[in-house]
Amino acid sequence: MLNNIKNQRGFVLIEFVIALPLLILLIYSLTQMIIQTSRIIKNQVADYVLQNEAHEILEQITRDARAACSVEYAGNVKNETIIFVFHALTQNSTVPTADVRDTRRYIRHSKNYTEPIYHLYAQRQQTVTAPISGNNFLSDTSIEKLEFSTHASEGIGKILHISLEIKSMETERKFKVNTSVFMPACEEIKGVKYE
Amino acid sequence: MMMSVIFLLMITSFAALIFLNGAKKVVNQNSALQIIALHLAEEQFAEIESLAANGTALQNFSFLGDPNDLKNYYDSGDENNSEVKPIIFDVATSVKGNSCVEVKVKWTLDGKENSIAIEKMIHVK
Repeated sequence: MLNNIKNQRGFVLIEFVIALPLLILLIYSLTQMIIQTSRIIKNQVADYVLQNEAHEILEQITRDARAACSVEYAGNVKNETIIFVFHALTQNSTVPTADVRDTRRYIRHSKNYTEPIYHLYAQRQQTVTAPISGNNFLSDTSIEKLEFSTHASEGIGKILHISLEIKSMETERKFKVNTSVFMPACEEIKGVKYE
Repeated sequence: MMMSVIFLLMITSFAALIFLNGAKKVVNQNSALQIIALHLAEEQFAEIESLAANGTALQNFSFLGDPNDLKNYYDSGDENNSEVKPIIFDVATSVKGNSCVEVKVKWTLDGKENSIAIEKMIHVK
């Protein structure tokens, strides 16, 4: 009976004292690994969303600029709103096609006034559509700066310069892109100051 | 037996931790700069298109856009190293044949030179 009890092997206190910190260390390092992995994935996705949105915004605006017959830009502080006017087709034969116009307005706007996050909205004939930027399920972005201008030198004209600065709300990372677009169909640029 | 399993797991997880730390550094830092360079090239093309529409012959132009656009930055977004690196872009144009224009944008990041080159057909009016 006594021999049976002696042969039963279990954890003694000293073994438990050694095993417990090792177990804690193991759990800690595994947790850290999982946290780091998810952070890297989150940052990579946020970077991708940031770059993709910046590229997409500029692509959309330049595509419209190339087709526009008239351009106007405005804004409260800086030139941050742009209105493109296009020739539109009509079913009504009594109205000349050249007189029918369609407009698209790009507005940098924030719905949240306490902690403003700016998104880009497009309006067609005063109807606000869904925002072009932000509201992304994977990561949100905010347009820090969107400016439009034109410049002319030595006969160069009909060029719209776009300056965009966008920030990822996930990583706080900023990204600035500048570009220009030549507007061959443009007949009129309102609010343009030639230097 | 039990102890060796625990030790093995520990060593593996620490090794993975070290590799994951390194993973941050192998992220392609140039992806953001490539987009900036692409739009700089578009800026140069817009200026050349405008000149061509006015009848100016194609030539090896220097950068015709806003000179301030050549100065940009790279924000790594790294929490431990939040340094924003200034980046200077260099834009060069070369004419190939009658109406093919190549715009090459170069920049240096961490001592390494990178570039993109884009070609476009532009007709002089």
